[in-house]
Amino acid sequence: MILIKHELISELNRLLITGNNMKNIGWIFILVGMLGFSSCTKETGKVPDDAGVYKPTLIDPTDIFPAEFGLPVLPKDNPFTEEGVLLGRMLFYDPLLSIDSSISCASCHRQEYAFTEPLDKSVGFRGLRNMRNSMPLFNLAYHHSYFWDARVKTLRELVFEPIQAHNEMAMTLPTLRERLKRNKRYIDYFKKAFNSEPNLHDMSLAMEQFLLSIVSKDSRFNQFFPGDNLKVLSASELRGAFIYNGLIDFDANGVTKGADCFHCHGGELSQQLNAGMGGIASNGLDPAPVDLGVGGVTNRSQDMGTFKAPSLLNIAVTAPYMHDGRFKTLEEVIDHYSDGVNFDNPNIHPQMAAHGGIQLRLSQQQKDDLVAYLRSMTDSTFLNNPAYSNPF
Amino acid sequence: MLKNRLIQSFLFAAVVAVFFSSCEPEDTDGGSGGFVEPTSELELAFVGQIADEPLPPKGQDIYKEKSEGESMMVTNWSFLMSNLALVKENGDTVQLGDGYQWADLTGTRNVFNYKKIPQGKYTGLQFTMGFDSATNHGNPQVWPADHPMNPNLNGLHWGWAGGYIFQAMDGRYKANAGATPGSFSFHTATMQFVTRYFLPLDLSIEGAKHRVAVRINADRFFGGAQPIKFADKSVSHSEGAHDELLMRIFLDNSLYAFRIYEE
Repeated sequence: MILIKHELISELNRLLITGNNMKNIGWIFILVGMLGFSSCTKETGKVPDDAGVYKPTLIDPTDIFPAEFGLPVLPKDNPFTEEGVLLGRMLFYDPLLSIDSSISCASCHRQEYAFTEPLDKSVGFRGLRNMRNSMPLFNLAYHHSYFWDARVKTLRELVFEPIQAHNEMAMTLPTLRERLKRNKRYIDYFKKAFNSEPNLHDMSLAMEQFLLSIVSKDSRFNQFFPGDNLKVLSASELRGAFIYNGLIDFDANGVTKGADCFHCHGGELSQQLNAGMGGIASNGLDPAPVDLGVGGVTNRSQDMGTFKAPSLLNIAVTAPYMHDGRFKTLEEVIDHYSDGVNFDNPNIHPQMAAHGGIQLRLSQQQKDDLVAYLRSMTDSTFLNNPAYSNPF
Repeated sequence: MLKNRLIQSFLFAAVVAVFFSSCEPEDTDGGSGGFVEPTSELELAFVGQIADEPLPPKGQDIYKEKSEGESMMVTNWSFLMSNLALVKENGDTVQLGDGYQWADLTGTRNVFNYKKIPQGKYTGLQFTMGFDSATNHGNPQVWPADHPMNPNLNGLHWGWAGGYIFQAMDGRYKANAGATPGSFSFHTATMQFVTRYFLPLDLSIEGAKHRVAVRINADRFFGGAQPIKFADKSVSHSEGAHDELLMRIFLDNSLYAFRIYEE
């Protein structure tokens, strides 16, 4: 464009200098017009855009995370881009990441089940079973640790574990690196997202972007919270809300109006994120720790049999329940908390045991209302959001 | 000629005036007239103890004696503060940071560094465990993600009921040496239990850095003139007649739990 403009000006000068202006006046008008037209486009001095593919489009985090949740702490070295999130979603759904190309992350984390699956323990490579229940994947940006035993602090670390686990995707990293480098699609998309050839570090960053971007915020519970919008809940659900958020306080007849669920599953995210306040706890499933949970990582006696308390958003679609999937229905879960807590467990959370080891003994009506309230936490928009679905 | 000279002189004077007016020394610490107040750095630590001994490291099941023949172990202890400030000899206060802080005595968040503390003599440290009503019942998500007041960080917000938990102390106890451990849980909340603390201190801040430690004995919350026996009542969440009475005793006892030292 610069060259064309220079030639136009030279020609215009020549016409003006020659003196036969009447004859040249038409050409002068044409040239001036062309000059003006050529000036409408910006002259930045840059190489035209079609010369390369790396043009990441930044995503404002406020477009992802709702104001009601607040902005989480996000990794500064991995800002959201449309290309990065898309690449991460592709990798999440691609069985290429498993040794025999049969299993993807989405095999055990299915969107219609809030990214869990309806098995007590997932099945991986060659039918080998995992030791724990598949965890749901949403609102992960607010978490401080990952996995049931909280052993990993970032998602970019996390993704390498199931990829390499022998009973999950059973892949080796050198093999994965070579597969990605030879794949034409990933050559193109890594270039677009990170201006790099396919590599494992950027793979983990892309997957981190995708996983962080998955947000569930539109359940009726979220519309109701913190309790101003009563109309969105039915009468039973509202009664359930009072039980869920009420303190345990036995009257003279031994009846409690509240069940204290909110201590470990409270707030807009329906989850306690602080480990000390109930975010990591034993809920008295067994009289003594069977699966060591966090204790298996820290080797501390106080942590034996404790696990990360999950969010209860979308709980109605994430059966079976608990770290080992032992409860098949929400009713079984409620029965445990009402009548089956093992107060002898040495590490049961003080919040649960600080009422003299007395079972709640909720009435059937209370149990039904609680289940109704839990069902109001289902977010159909999230479960069907194409932004999180299989891109292939 | 004279007129031109006058104009030139005026212009010259104007230029000189502009030149000197742009040469004020850099204002570093808000001092006026070019005076820069000397400042130091303060390290403020909140240290959890039982019976004047540091809390046992996490993972060690060590019970320490408290009143009423019982022994206790703290598994979770954190609290939120507002109006955190040093108090000068003349009663003026120097706010530390924005005045808010979250101390987790059983975690790793209990030492805080504050820069640019004006040098001079200080006679105390003040803070409020709790907040004014507008802050307590305001939208907690207005705080930045890494601010001590953000509930996604501190876990100390009731959500449904609105308002913060000002202090949470949880743990286990034994009624006697051979007893099966029980649990205790004391959560301070609601506006009636906002508590102000003033800790007397003889502190001269000069030089580069000072360290002040606030040592807090957990057992003193349950001892003193109104001892709390866990075997009788081991939980208070600050609401309901029984819980409110117990929380009042817990906080009255707490006034004797704090010691402050320059270290």
